[in-house]
Amino acid sequence: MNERPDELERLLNALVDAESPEAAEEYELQLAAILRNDASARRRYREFMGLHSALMWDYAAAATDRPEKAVVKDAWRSPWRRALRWAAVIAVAGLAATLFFASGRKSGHPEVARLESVEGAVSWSNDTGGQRAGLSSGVRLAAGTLSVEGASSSAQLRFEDGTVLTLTGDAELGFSDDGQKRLALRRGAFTGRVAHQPAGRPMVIRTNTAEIEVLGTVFALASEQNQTALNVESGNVRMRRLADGRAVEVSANRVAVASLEVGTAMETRLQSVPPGEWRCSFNEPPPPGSKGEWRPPFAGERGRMQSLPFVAGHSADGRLIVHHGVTVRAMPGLDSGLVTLSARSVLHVRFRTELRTGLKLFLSCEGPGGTFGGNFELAIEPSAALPDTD
Amino acid sequence: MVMPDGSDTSLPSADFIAHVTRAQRTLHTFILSIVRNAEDADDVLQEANIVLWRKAAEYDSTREFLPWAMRIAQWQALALMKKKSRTRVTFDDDLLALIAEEAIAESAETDPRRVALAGCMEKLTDGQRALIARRYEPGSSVNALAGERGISPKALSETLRRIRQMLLTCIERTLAQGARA
Repeated sequence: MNERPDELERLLNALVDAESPEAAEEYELQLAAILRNDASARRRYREFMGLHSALMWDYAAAATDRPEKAVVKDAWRSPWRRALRWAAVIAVAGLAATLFFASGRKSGHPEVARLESVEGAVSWSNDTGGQRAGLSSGVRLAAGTLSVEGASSSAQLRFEDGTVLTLTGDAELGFSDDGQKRLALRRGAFTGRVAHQPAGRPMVIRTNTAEIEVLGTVFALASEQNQTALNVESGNVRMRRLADGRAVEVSANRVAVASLEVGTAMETRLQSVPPGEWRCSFNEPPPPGSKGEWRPPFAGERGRMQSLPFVAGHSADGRLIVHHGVTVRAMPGLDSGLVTLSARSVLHVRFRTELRTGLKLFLSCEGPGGTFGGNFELAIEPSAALPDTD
Repeated sequence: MVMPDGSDTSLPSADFIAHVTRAQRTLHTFILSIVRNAEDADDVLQEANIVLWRKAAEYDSTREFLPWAMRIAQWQALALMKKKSRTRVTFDDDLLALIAEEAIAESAETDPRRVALAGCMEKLTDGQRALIARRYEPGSSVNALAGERGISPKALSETLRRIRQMLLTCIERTLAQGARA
């Protein structure tokens, strides 16, 4: 390692880390004097800028994608600049860790958290029969279970200490806080921005296959019936596999999976970056986790996905609101994203309807660390004339 | 269809779109080396993409795509530099042209370096990776980050310099090993 930088190295670093435009200008002037007559210096300049550019593209955590700022509706004016990923939220019914969760309760029902924001169908219930449907932002909640229904739904739960949990898509999370936060992710996924927890009282999260201890960090967690995937954006999280009790420390920008396997070492690895291009023609089976009825190619017809009904929410009088839809998504966890998006990405969707009806295109994104990146929706009115109808 | 302003609104071929998509990172690196500012580089890349799209019909598919696209990006970058017309010229036109010519001539080197970087990132400690991630968050600044960590901006800059140097050295070593293999 070069401990004492030469002038060129010093200037290059000073330029990209300059505290003001004026300072940057000064460094540029000095840099230009070196670069003008030195081809090897120009090569080093290009290589340094190549590194600087690559770090921006591939290795930046999505600071603008903080859960507190999430649930943005207008995707097409998004301020996000670089890597956003399709979210990989999947609803798989699981075995609830009810006993674990119930053990953390106190008698009575003190409010422990507040709903920061709500999109779609969100309800709360507890084990003494309490139930509240059609929740809206600002509602304070006692310990209980928060349910989010529908792929386009989401909810943010804020605790007194500033910890924020964001549930997206179909998800069910039990929560309590009696000085120690205890969560039970029964299905789906959520991201957590956890404030520093008191010594000896970490936030504990139980899923079907794992127990996770968090002292203060940013992470994303997705639970399926047979595995739990953890993405850590910052800080450290301890994950224990319930099948055999083995544990691993998961540090920033790394992922780990706890499955039903036993005997193998628990390992972590660096989060991968999804490809810059992605295409799904449905001539092959769609990615696991997608929803809809797959129709393979037949008699010269291309493959396609037929929409299926799903619960999109509840009306004010409690009746189910049913929509028909197709969802294409990857499995949560490792390599969860389908594709890396940038502000200049182009999304092509080909569809055909039997009736003229209103349509919604829904895009769910996550930051590079797997944390919630926002839900985006494009509504197409039944009367809309689509520009490329064929 | 050709519009009154001369632009062609017909959809470029799938090959052309694939070329543009694949070239994004190389174009960003190239533009950044000309404009030296991340936000400007993003803006120029966006403009360059629009121009590439409009000029899709002019692209000769028997020739390499990247040099052609970089030339267009160069024009866009220089146009932005002129538009901003700062009071003091730091990188003059001759220097910018020299940087651009050399970058275009060596454009094939960009991808192997990026592949090597992925492996080199794995060799950093968790703390170093976390620091790089925070430093390169959009809107991040050394001053703010130093404040968060309770250290001086100078100390943080020095840490970042060392990490970048480790990565550059690692990339060179990886490419050299690849060349010997």
